[in-house]
Amino acid sequence: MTRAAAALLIFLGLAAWAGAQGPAPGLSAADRLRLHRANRTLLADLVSAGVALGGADRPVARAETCQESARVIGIALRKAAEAQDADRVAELGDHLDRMVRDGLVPLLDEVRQTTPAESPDGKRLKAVREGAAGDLDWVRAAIPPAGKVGDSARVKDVSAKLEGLRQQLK
Amino acid sequence: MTCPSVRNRILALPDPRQVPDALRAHLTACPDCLAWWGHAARVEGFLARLPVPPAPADKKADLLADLTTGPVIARVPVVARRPGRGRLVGALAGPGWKYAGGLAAAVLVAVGGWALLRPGKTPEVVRVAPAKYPLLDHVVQSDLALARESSPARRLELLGGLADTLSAETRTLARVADPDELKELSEWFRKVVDDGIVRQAERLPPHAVTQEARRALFEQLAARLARTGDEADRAAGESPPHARPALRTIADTARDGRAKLRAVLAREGA
Repeated sequence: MTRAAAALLIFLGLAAWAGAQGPAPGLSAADRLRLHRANRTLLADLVSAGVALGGADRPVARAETCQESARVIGIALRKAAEAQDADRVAELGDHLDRMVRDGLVPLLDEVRQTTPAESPDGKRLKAVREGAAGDLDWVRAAIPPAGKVGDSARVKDVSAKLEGLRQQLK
Repeated sequence: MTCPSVRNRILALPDPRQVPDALRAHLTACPDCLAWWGHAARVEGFLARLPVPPAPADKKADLLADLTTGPVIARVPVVARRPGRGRLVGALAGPGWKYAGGLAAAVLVAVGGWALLRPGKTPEVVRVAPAKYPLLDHVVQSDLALARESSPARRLELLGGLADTLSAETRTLARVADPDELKELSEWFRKVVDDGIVRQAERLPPHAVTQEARRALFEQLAARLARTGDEADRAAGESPPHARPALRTIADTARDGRAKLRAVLAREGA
């Protein structure tokens, strides 16, 4: 009886202790290194883009660099789709969505309001918009409608987001 | 001093990463022991990151002493049996309580089975989302913020944040990444500092911010770079040999960038 009560008390104590622990520790060093290796090429391009954006005073120049960043993310996404890596497609799809929705589209809208369509900047703007729309089509075409990648709920979500972005770039 | 004795002495140190000069001389002359020490230091680094409370400083010595002296089990303790059961235990062991306990157990099994197997309920498959790479997330966020920011001074601050992120990642990966990967990270840091921060500071238009705000911004960036340089230097001292060149490149780049920012300020003040 005493033994059972003691075991119960110990169990409750352990459960309370386990419940009081903080969140699980973050990425292990090995996981972090694996992710770093998977993203090396993309990171190199995005760091270069960041440096270019830092010195780009004109919104058109920032829109062009932003489109370039979206393009390199799209290239990585296509490779992930070809490799049947649904999780990576979803992760990169989220980054691509943010880059276009929160970066490129607002910049294009801002410049369009202040720049005549026939001016040199207006023509650059048009080229950026068309280029970004073409890039999105190219990326969406690489995502299969079914199968290991296409059936993933997260990938379906990405496809829907990209479709929405495509509409915004019309 | 033979290789085995050097390795045994390193293992007996409180922290194998901190090797005294007498042993360090052997490591410098013996590539095998140096490589072995690199692995030992890396294992020690991993152990240090495990989420456990630190042991007392003398715990290791006590444990080694226990293992090396005397038999491991001195005697097997004998637990005396109690002569009889208590009144309560005796009462609970009666036939009436046994029937009641059996009935309660049967009800629990029936309720549990119904909860699990009732029609219309499908078992949920909990899927853990795969890990995202924090550096990629930071760099994307940084690029987005830079794209949306129209103020050149604010973009300069954002570049400072990007440089910090890259330096921190290099320190984090110092023990596990190979030299080429660390070198690449240090090159990205150099690009952000030299081609981003310093160049942008040199061409910051005079009308972009007031003279006072400009001075404050440059001083803040210079202090940030000084801190980054110190952290990289410290990390180089604690890291395995293969990681030191990249960390020293970051420290040198940070110091050089700080000096260039100060030079820009001095030129404008003159």
